[in-house]
Amino acid sequence: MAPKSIRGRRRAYTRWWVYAAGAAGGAAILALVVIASGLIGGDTKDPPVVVPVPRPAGLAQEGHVLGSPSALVTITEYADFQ
Amino acid sequence: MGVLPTIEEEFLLTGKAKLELRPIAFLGELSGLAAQAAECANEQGRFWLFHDVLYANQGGRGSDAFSREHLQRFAVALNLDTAAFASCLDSGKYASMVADGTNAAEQRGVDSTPTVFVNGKEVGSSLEEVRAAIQEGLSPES
Repeated sequence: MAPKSIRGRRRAYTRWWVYAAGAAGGAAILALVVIASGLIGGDTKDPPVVVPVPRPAGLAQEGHVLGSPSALVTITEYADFQ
Repeated sequence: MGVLPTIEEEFLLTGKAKLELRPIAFLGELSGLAAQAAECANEQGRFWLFHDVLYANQGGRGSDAFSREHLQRFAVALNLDTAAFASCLDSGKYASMVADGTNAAEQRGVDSTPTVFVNGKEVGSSLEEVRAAIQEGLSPES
């Protein structure tokens, strides 16, 4: 019984170590897959385009001019979009 | 609230003033490309919408926020005719117009962005300064 018991404990110890190593390896592979899918499949490079709310329909827009063509005051803005 | 939305609400929507935007390209190659893209959007009647999207997605000087790829993404987001937009932008047909506009602005003394004129007179670009200049322009004495 004694040798059998010793061999059984060794086998049990070996099995535990194998399972632990297997679990750790699996977790590592899963982590790599998640990271890779984030880098390759995920759209982390381009943020979503922010689309502002459209102006009221009552505000005239003609080319570069916003507002009534007959307005008394003309505002001219020079602007660099960047 | 920013300067433009306030001015729009107080003076443009009420018919008291109109705003003319003149795109210039001081800050680098992508500034020019963005200005050309706005002209391409203008061909589809969407200048101001594209203007708003450019400002909403600015990346600052030196960023690639207005790269060719991103400008095309903006066109998609606005449901423009993307093939026509791409063809327009790739043709470079507005490059000289933007360059000429920038040169004309420099000749007028424009050396910063934004630079604002009210009835032909340069004013500061803060809300208070623009509002005061408009109110002066609306007064009977002006």
